[in-house]
Amino acid sequence: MFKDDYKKELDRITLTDEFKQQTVQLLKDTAAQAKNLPSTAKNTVPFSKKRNLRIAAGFGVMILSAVMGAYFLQNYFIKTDNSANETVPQQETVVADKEKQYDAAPAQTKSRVYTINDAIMPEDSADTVAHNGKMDKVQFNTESGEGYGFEGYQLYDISRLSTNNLFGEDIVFDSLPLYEFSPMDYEDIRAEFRHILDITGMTEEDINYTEYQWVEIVDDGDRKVINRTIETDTAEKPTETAQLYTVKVDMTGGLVYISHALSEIDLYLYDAVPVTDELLGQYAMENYTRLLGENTESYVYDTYNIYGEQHFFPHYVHTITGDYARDVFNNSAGATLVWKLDDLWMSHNDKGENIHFQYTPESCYTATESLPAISWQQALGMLYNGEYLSSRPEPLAEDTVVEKIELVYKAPPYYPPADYRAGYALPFYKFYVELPEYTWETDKGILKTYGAYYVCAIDPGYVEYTDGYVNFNM
Amino acid sequence: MEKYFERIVYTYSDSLYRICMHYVKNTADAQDIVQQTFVKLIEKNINFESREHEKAWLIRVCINLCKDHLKSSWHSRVFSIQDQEFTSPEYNIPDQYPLLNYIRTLPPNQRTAIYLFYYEDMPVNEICTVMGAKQNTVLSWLRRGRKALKKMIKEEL
Repeated sequence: MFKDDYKKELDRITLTDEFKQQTVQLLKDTAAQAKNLPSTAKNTVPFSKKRNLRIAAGFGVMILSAVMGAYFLQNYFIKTDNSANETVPQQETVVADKEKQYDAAPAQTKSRVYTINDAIMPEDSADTVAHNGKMDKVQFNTESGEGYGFEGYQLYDISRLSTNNLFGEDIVFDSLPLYEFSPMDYEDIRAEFRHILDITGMTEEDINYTEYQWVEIVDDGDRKVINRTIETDTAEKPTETAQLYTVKVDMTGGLVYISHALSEIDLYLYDAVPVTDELLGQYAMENYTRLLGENTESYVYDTYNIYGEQHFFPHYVHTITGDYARDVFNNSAGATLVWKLDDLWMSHNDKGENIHFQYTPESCYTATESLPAISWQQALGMLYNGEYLSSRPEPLAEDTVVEKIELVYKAPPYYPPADYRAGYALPFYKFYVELPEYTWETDKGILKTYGAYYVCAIDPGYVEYTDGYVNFNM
Repeated sequence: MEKYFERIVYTYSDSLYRICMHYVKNTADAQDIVQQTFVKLIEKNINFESREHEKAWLIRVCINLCKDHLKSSWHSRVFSIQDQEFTSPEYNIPDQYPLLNYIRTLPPNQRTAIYLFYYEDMPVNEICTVMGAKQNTVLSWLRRGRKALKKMIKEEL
């Protein structure tokens, strides 16, 4: 019987008496330092308390929105256990902590920089892997970035860019998968929605599918566009060529839209939450990562505007799977062109009065077969050789210093609602280069600007670019 | 005070260690996490209503520390990928624990729920408190975990 066998197996897993004695000694030393005397006593603070959350239904301003009722959130969504999450400060200290943590410009730190001496130049490389002919070259569509500015990061120092990227100089791989996007169909949408219901403890009896929006798609050059929209109140296809675009659902007083085209689930929640992005991430990890599973991480991604005012990009929480390529994909951040598996993109208004979550289901992106990859040294060589993609058209000089390298996945641009995501997300090495012509002196020091330059991590024999350089602007 | 430390260490350390072995790669990491869990208790100076609450708190913190350890593992190791084959290092467990090996392939929620239910004989409502989840959710984790284990064990046979 499973239970008996399981118990017998685990009963064999024990700690030695020596270890336990060492642990007791450790605690004595710790207590002597802290001078705290724990006790088990009556009339103490309860172990768990529920946070009272006020949820109001409403419509979001985006195409997709959802609002959960107060009853739904309090009883199905949120349980907060503050005593086990001691890293979350109380709300009354939020502003002070934010000022303490974020407003101080850090001292300049010495960090690893990269130059042409670290690169393997294209003419020095061994022959790149010959295209094996088994698949067509991957098409990666680019477009001109003229008029849209460029992708830049304003920071007092590159060390302040905290994205938890998984690039490592010593991490070696000879191939990487692509991620192919496929929109959800009606059954996919219902399955994803059942996943949310499962986690929240609700059933399909608690929801009511009220409206279906269908679209007819036509080709317009390289893009697909919506020619006609049809609304129905059943899941039956109205015409032969109609594709499901949006599903509108009522849930205990709230509304959820699930879009087929964007393949995301947008939730708007009215709530009282901590106002800093770091606390938002922690709050989300406590309460909403049931949508993702328990194994998650979050990070704050902050830069400064041209007035030296600190501002934050949306705070990402995503699942760690243990698969390197998947985790790189999930971690990729900084541009809306990158789509992540199983993660929550969230932001809040300045008063912390509402939260917007955007949930990207895993089913939308699947890994393809792996293609031969190049090393970061080879990619650096291509960078110095002018073979890169960037929203900065100016060429890089040979003595350019690269201050940071990341590994990210990128997908071609698309423009909703008419445009569909299509094709593949590819892995790219992302190189951060300081742009000396864009600096501002503030009361905290010199605010620098770093431009982003991309070299595809897939062997160039397997990728074909159209147009000129790519605009990776947000 | 020393008596208190001895009580909690000798009462709970094996349980916490077994939880850790559901998450981490090796005994050294598991032992580290067990000690960190107790240190957190001392540092937080929490007063508990009862022994049950004390145990639930320790288990919860231990699980969180295991998850933190999992998150940090990418940044401290070097590995290579060949094609798409890559096995996460936390799945290397000796063969004398075959059931544990199966359980470690489950998502973390299900691992924890199965451990607490089958080994600790914890009722579902207590598991809800420890894991901060609703009853239906815990039941769902147990159901899915049992189904997956059944399939794995049958295939092995």
